[in-house]
Amino acid sequence: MDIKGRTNRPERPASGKAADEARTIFAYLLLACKNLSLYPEGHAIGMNSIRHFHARLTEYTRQYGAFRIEVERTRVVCGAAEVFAGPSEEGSLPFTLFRDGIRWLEFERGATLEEVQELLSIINRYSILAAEPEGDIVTALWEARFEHIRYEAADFFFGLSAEQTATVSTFDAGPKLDTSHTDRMDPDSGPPIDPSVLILSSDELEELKTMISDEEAASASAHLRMLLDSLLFYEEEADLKIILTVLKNEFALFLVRGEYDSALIIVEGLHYLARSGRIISRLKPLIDVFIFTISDFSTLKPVYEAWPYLSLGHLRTLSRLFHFLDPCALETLARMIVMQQPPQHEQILEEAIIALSGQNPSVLKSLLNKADDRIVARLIPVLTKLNTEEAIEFLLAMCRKPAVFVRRLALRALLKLSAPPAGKIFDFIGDEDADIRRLVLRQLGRVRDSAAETLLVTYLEEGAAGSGSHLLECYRTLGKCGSERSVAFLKKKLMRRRWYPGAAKSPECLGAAEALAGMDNPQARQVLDAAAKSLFPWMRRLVARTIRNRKQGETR
Amino acid sequence: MTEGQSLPVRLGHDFLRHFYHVLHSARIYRDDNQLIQKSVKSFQSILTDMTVAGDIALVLWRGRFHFGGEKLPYRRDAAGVVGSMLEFFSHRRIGSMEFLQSAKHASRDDLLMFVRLLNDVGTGRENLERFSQKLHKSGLTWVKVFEKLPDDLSGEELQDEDRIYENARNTYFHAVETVREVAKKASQGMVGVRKARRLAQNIVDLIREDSALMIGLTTIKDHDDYTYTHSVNVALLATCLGRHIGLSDLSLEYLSVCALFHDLGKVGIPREILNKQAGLTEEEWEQMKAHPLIGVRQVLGLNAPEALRSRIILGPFEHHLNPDMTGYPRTLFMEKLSLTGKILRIADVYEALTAQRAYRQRSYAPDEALRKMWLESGKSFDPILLKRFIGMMGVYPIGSLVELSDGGIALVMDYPTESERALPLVMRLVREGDAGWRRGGIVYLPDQESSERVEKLSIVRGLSPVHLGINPAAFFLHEQ
Repeated sequence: MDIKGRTNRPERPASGKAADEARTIFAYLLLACKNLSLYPEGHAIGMNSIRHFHARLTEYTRQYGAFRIEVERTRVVCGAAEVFAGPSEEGSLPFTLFRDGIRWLEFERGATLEEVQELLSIINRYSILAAEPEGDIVTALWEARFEHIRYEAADFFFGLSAEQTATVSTFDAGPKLDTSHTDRMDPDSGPPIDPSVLILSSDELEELKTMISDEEAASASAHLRMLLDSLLFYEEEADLKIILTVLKNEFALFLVRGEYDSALIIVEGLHYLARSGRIISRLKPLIDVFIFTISDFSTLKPVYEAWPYLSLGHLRTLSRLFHFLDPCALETLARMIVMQQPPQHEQILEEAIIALSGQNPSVLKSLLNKADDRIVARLIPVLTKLNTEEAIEFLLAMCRKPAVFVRRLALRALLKLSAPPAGKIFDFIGDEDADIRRLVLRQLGRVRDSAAETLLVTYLEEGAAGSGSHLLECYRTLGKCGSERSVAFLKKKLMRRRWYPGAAKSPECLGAAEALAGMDNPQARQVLDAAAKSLFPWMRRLVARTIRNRKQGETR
Repeated sequence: MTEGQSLPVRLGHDFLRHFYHVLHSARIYRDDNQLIQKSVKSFQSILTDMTVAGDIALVLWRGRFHFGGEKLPYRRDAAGVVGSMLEFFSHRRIGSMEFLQSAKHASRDDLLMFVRLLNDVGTGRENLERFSQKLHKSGLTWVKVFEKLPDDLSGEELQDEDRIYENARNTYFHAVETVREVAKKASQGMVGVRKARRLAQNIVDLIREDSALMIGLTTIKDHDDYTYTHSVNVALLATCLGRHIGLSDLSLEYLSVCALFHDLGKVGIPREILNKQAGLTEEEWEQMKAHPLIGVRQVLGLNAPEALRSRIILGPFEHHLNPDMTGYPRTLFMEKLSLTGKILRIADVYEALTAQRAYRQRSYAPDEALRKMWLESGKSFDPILLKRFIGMMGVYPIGSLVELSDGGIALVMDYPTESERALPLVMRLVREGDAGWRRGGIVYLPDQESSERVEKLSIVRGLSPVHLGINPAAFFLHEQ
């Protein structure tokens, strides 16, 4: 049996008053334990009951020096006073203490609230013991090294049979070999060691100090590199999976704890392995699955939550880390990019999104399809930086989104990114949003383009919907992109309603005149000349005004 | 060893040592001898320090010395001196001595007179009374000597030591059982590390109390279950080294658990390969080389707190790697060994060299093993840690059997700090015909060094315990 802590007993409560006080304190202790188990850590009710217990304890230890409870199977005693009796239930304080072999627990004068809180937290943590536990109250108390809380614990092997504690003579030191030469010295074992060479130089002392401080700091990366190395050797899939599962759990923990450097070591290492030719073939798909799994939102959530507040150092690390993720991480990155954040944060996310989208554009496509408008709108400028065929397709798709502001952004981005063929954007000519319609027409009218011309003529011929101003704009655009091929159509539009009373103000006539004037080719001029000599005054006026306006526009 | 002991306790032992030296020297030398002058001076100095704040009593009660009201704890490095002083006091029926504050004014001649009178005290009660009268007559009023009172010697004086021995023995055996149990379960499913942690914590506590005893236990070798005793021995040696260089208790716990499980991967290797006398075939060697990785997999199956697991997993992987990362398994990502790995490497090799193994004709004596390792310093072992290890173990390591210059055989028990760990405290072993060996007297070799005798006792060479049929651990645990 091993005894931990101090063995001398404190002053026992002699008077009835002291015994009553001890019972009261124990009741407070029980209550605090109970509340701690019922409510989440840090909950006000649990904290208050710990404070009440601590206040009572402080008063008691001030008066009597220490508060010590001795734990027996069916009762708890404080000095001469029995403070608890009866069978204790599993999970209760007396049961837990007795189960783990705590014989007595003593709070000395000066026990702080933090110490009490930590102690109760330990007891609560180990109140239910698993079948193959990682520790118990005794191991946790040993590690806690409380200054004012003492305990005595029976060792777990206390009470085991005597056979298990044999004498050392039961061991057989060696195989039956010829030992006739055993006291002969081995000439290879070297000369005697001069004790003076064992003295460490100041540099060596410094190096030793560094080694110790590194060890105490418990570098999180040493074992990661070792695990990565071990992947080079295992051949069984089951073994590889075990290592990768550990790495996955560690990766998730590092993100929770903000230890991004360590997380980076994992993904960087695996990425390196996946590309190296040194690994066995079955590892590559397992690494792919690993990267895919850790790139989901549930794993990356801690980064998402911490993102706006991260330091530059963390940003740099994460910037590298993001590039090793699977494109499915785009979902998380997209959620992050709509946060309020400094420009450098945004820049890192944009770069990561661009890189990951480049790896697998379909993920981005799917994201754009299902993400909410706010995210899609924020992704549009990023898409322009992608500058690929896929990006153009995505932007075109975004031009069909229900939200007007998304469509506008997408179209602007699209037009900024490239000069899309007329056929690609012509569909949007009838968009309900005037801005979009204007953008489309402006784009169509940039150069003479037979495709645009054909589309516009067809559109106008088939009775384009929309306001008069829209129709007028369509004709004007036709004037900019059209050719002599459209002259007959325009002539018809200009001339056909000449008897109609309001013809002079109809968008078709006005538009056709402006289009013909804009075309500036002999056929168009011929039609305009004829119209200028028309029998109908309104037509003559219309043509004259159109030509005049055009000349004025050119002069300006 | 004095690590972690309080100031009064340390001064108490120092006081006893100086007192012993001056008594011892006075028996041998004349007043004008340089050595006795030195001893008196040292005794005067510590007596002045001790009485500066008031009277101080040295009390013998139930077989233990109490100094300034505080019981002096057992200390292996002081055991020789304490034992001699116990004998000195008991022989003269002295129960206590009270040094008054005025002792700080006592001259060296006064002190020498006091020491000579004390040496001359015979065994009877009347002798002690006569001694007191002589003190008074000589004007030595700064010291009072009292007769020993009857006390119950039913065993309390040995309880502390017995408790340590029992605890050390239990911890050792249960550590072997735990490693065996974990090894067996690890391949079947999840295994908790609670037991291992409690054992490791016990080991750390025991090393704090008496590290020499724990090093002595590492002389236990079990050929049949070599992997298990080897693991426990490595844990003891590694934890001692960790403590020697100043690691925290938590790191020591982790180091200890790591060492206990560092060879888990060997459990799956057939015994025929492990104990094969001839050289291994290529395939067998490949199997052997795989054990670090099998060990890693086993450790991953342990139900351990994350912080602990991330530390203990390094042991299995690193313990066959050299500081320059040669060795096996080969590494691509790891650039350097962890401190845990470096310590384990040293403890593992030392333990293996000193064990009787089938593949070599004989085990190395501990001092031989250290010398062999020293040749590999920097290449196979971290040079700084190896220096610390040899410094801790002593050139003739604790637990070594040695031949003394007078032809006697002795067991190295400890390296007292006051000798700057250069010379050990040894226990003579006496052959009793066919019945084996029994404990002889304790010899404090630093005393021999300072004596003026022409024939100074010293160590001639190390010996193999196997050849002599001696189990050193049994002497450490007082089983023999």
